[in-house]
Amino acid sequence: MAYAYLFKYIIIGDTGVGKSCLLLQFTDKRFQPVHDLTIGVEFGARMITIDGKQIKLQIWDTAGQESFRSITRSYYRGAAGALLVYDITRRDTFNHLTTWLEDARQHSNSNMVIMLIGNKSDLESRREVKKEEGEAFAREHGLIFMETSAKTASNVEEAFINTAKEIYEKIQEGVFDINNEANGIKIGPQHAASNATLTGNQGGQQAGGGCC
Amino acid sequence: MKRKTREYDQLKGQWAERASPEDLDFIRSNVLKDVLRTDRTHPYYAGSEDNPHLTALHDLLTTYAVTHPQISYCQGMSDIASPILAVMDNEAHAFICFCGIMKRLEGNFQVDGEVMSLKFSHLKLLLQYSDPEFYAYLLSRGADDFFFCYRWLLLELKREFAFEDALRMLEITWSSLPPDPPEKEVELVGPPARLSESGQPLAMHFDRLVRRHNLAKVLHRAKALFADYLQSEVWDSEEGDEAAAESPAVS
Repeated sequence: MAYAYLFKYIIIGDTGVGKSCLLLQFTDKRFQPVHDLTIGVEFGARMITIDGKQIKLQIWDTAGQESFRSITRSYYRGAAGALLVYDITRRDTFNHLTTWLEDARQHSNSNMVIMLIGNKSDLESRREVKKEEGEAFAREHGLIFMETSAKTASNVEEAFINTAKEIYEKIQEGVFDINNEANGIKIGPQHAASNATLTGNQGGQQAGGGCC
Repeated sequence: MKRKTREYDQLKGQWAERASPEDLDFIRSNVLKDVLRTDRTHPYYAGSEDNPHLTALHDLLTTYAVTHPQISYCQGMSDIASPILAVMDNEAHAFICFCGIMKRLEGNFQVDGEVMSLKFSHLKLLLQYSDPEFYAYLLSRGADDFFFCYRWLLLELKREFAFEDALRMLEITWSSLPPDPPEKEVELVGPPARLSESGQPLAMHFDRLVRRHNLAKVLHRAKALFADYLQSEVWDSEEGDEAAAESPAVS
């Protein structure tokens, strides 16, 4: 399907916080309580609409365990957005955010939009991290913040879409160099067709991803 | 086997002596998280979380981690141990087999990643030889790091096939490795810990094929490729010698 832009995302965070479940809820609109643990990196994609434009999100879902860090790092480069996920029922996953953030900032391009996500908001009775703490951390580090539930789908759409909106705004402001694929943004055939000055990129080669 | 089983039972009783409470907690919680996400659609591991087979897999992996502190536990090990336990249907026997296969696979799980890097370079070499056109395509898309094959290499393709097919495939690849019987009996305890110590839509395509590859077709193709490879010049070169050690012989 034709799209105006393609944004690359990466999902990072400790093991078991629900990264793959968030992705599955977003791409397939379902929750799978029993699923395989992620080894290395897995992939997903979906089309969304912002400002009347079709935008394809191509999403890298990474494994949370330390031993895979060397390969997940190689995916930071070339990502326009990152979802940094912790589990509101496990304090340790919140405590590790600083390490994740340092890692992401060190290995990504400086304009990458980072969305902080406190997942498993449906498990209120087991909550260990207050929503205010997530908000404070996000404020302090210049991140967008949301609490989500991959199980009930609460805020899942919003998390992915708001990140895309922020990237889109940055494009409008001219912050992102959209002709440099290393920024995780590609101009698609739809956009190229409606804007002759932007032809000549490779977006048209993304034939039939069949993602949505 | 009876003696080894007793030895396993003893080791299993020594978790607290062999690891600090913090380390043990860390290992157990990591193992548990993964055991609950390993082959749960297979009848042997399906159902509620108190399925005794899940406990057995957890105990086996925890015992391995505390008795092999240099390797400990890494994600991926549960995928290797799970088919062994399902086939042996005996925790102690499965542990002994797992120790045996880990002698060959432990390099995959080392933190420095050197063994995995070597495997990636072999894969690159093999693809360059067997399908130069596809290799050139990957190169042009900046995917020649082959990271999208990570799961294949780490888990010996186990996840790419349906469970029963994976058993057959692992039997073929594991039995075709150069014979390397232990000189004595299989050691159940490892050396002590050291004191200090661009993926593309193509990759997405492969994720969708998890557990759906056709084993018969793959084996047939592998056999043809290997026969072809044995007659090639790569085989005679030094690089070929290295690569051959990693290549599955299918007969």
